[in-house]
Amino acid sequence: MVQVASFQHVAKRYPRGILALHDVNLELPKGEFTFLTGPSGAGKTTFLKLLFGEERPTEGALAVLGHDMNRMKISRLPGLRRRIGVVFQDFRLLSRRTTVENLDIALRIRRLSKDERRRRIDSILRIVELEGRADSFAEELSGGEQQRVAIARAISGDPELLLADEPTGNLDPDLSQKIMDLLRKIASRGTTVIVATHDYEMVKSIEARAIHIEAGRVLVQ
Amino acid sequence: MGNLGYYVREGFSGLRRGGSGSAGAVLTVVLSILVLGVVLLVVRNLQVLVEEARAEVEVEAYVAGDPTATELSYIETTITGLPGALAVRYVSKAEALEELRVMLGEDQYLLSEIEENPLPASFRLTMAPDYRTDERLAQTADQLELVPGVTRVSYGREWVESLSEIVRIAGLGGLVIGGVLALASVLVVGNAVALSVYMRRDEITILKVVGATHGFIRRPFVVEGFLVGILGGAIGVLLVFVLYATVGRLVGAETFLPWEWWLGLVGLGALVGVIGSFFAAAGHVHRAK
Repeated sequence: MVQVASFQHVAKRYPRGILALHDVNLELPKGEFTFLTGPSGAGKTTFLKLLFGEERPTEGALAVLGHDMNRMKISRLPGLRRRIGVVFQDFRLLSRRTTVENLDIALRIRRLSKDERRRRIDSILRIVELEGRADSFAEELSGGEQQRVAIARAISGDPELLLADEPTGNLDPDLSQKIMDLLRKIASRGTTVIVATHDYEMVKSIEARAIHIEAGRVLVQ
Repeated sequence: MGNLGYYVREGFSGLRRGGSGSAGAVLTVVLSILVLGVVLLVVRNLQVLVEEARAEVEVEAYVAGDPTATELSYIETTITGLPGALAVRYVSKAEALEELRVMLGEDQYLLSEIEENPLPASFRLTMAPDYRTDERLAQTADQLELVPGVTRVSYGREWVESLSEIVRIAGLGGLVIGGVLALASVLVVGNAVALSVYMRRDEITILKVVGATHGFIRRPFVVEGFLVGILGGAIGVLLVFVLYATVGRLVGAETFLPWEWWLGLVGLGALVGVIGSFFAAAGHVHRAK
């Protein structure tokens, strides 16, 4: 598949008439690292929600990883989401569970064997440099560590597409840099990565395509 | 199912975290099983009573006039040969009169006026257990009436039949009560699970984003419901036993429920838990965004 996602005249209107996105036309090629920039409330989160099926387009045609998102049955959504990794600004780890348990659940839903799960968890913990925090509870981790666990969970299933919504929003500059390096490392391994951020300094310092959204309209650079 | 261990662990964890909601659901199941168990206990003991009563039922075949020894011997052999005949006892006219005298007690002076013994001799037949049903007793009575020398046959038909009828109605009443209680329990367990789902909605949302199927998310809640049900069923049965051993014995109950019955009660509890939780979980997990 050449295109991971394809937007054709896609619009998203929320129930009370709020137009979050208007006439979006673009393609997301496989294996690219792309920034999604724009001020808060511009529509970046809606854009990402459309990609992982949390919302459906109210107009236009959207295809993600070969699925027609307008017509897709709810029962098929879990299957699609297992091919996509999502990282949120507020981490969204399962509370009262350790790092390993958080990763383990993501792998259990993919019906991997116990050995395979163990192997992947060990490997991913190395990638995100969290081997020492394997048995710590989510509540005991620092912000940066929690975000790395969230990223680890997102990539644990070897997704084709990784979506990150303001992944460095809650972190200091040093940590932000580390997280970005990690995301770029993931992209270099073949995963298509989309990072929504309003940190313009970050965007300027990295050589990558940037899709700019302002008041629901897309301006591609 | 590779994830069974996960579902079970999560189910237990959900039960623990369920707090008063879970406790209330367990209590409801306990009460339902308790009431149903007591009803079944009453029914069971009535059944036993009826069986014992039937065992004492004798079919009485009256013989005409004053039969000779040969004639008596012939009648006795024929009766003994009837299917289901367990024991045959001959009651002479004199014995019959004596029985009446004993039965009348203080009133036996009434017999002093009688010159000739009006009571007939009879053969009293005790039937084998399988032959104590109303139908078979009637059949036996018909066969006895055909034996030459036998004038009349009686077997206390009415009270045996009414006793059976009482037991049958009690049994039906028990089923109806049980059905209503089971339904109420299903709803309460469902409610407790719905609450559990609501309390965990953040977690459920995360699981959905990560790509877990509804089944994966739902199953731990079904396990939770199963645990509520089986716990309630087991405690309920235990309480029924306690009631039987204390109050029951005092009132004259002779037997506890047969193992198939009380095990069935525990199973009913578990079933109620599973049904209640399945529908509650399916509906609410689906609705959680």
